[in-house]
Amino acid sequence: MIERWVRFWDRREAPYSLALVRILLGGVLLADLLQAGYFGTVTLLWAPPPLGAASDGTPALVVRLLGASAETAWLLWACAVLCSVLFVLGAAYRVASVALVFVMVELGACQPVGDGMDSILRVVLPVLAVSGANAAWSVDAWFRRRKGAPPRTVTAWPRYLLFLQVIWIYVSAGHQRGYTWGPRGGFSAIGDVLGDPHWARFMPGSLAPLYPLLCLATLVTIVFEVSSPLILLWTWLERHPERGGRFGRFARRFRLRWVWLGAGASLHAGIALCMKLGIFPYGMLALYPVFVHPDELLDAFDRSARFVSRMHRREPNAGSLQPRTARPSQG
Amino acid sequence: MPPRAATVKTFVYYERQVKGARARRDSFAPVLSGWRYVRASLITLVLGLAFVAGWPARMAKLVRDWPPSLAALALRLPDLQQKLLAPFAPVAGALGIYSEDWRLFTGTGGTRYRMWIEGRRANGSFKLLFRAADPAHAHLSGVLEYRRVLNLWNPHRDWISDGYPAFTRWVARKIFDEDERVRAVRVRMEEVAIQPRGAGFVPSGRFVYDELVERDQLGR
Repeated sequence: MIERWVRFWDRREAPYSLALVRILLGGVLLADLLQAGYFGTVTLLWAPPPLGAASDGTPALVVRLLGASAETAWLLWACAVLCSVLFVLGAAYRVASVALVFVMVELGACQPVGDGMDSILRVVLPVLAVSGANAAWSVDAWFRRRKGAPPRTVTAWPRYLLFLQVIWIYVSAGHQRGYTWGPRGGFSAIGDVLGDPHWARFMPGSLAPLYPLLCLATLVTIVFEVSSPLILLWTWLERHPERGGRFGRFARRFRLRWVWLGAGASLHAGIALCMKLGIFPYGMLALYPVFVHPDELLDAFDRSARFVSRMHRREPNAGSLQPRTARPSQG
Repeated sequence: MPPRAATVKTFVYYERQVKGARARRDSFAPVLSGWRYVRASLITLVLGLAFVAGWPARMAKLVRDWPPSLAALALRLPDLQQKLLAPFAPVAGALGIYSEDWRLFTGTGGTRYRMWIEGRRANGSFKLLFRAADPAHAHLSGVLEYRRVLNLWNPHRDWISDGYPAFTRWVARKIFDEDERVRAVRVRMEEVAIQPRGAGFVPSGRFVYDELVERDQLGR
């Protein structure tokens, strides 16, 4: 039993899923940080009063060393941007990712007011930092290849941990929902949020004609969240086609795993479309590659490439069809 | 899941890599074997701690309708949670991880807020510059709705962030720099009642978190 448990955490796989998470999540974080700079809010967010709104409680390490000032805030922000760029590119990854973890903790200490995504980043980034997420699609991997080193496999445990983390986020959020998420509140939660002037992207009340759909969306959201541990079962059944008996065949036939993933992606796309929740939906979607085995990811890319090349080959024919179909009408 | 024909090469390649890694591992077996156990133990510890850290903080609210004996048992959990996590708190604190308790939109509806930002001219009249969900008054809406800024001013059910006064000074400074005629800036939250059936909200005319920043206060 113990040996099986140790073997499980010792598994290796191709690095593509983790690499994709690195690129997507790093990209989301970078966009968020660049927005702070673009809007000129760096001082407001991370400088101490009276210039900014930074916390004057326990100061961050950098603040203790360099003093609380607007310059320190800008320096921290610039470091965060630089580390995010290196993180996305997978350049000097180990150093850059550890530095990014440090800088994000420092920024969080300067400005403790944040949303769920800040907390998620603080949990996820250290796991990615110790993973082999730079073993593919990265500057580091490119240099390795130039030196003649073969591509390498990475330990799978960081992906497994992030997999469990995302499930836990859903479970924890799901079981703490208030009564408006259930039948007692008439599944009104999403309708309520879309009526809140601070959260609604569209004019509050403008989606009232779609209210039954909003109730359905609330129901689907809560079912999706509470049922999220089942993704472990769906994934196991898919990876072991010989197991699970009739139930397993049912799950595979109706692709329950992909239904769940599709529901999650739709949920976050809906949030991004209808609510002003910042980077939360994008950050969550950026974590979805952890649900996909690298082999499946390669397979999907392979299929996409074949599809694109097929379309590309068809293009000249499609162009030549037009005059042929036009001719009879001209005649 | 078996790989498709076109990717078989890649799979075979990675299969070899995995086997190669295993072979290499075998040659370092004594060292690696020890490390494998240490790593699995650390991961198990992290999973256990994450599970404990995930026990809901608002337990009293969650167990309101539970049978009394079960609720009493559940209410002991927060204390136990503190005790179990205490030895590892410095490590979690160094990483800025304070909880695995994810509360996202736990309560909706009821009384909410709508931010107003107004500028006062020399004649004493206030001009509405920004009001949430009001396209006719959307001055600075881009920056105000940027999530990190929104977190500073968006009130929770019965509290607002400590950064709110600093935010009001910052936004006032911005407005003073843009328009020299503005003598003071007022930021406040109107209470609104969320309507049933997704029908939006009804303003109440009652204001809270009222902050007035005079130009002289900022030395502008």
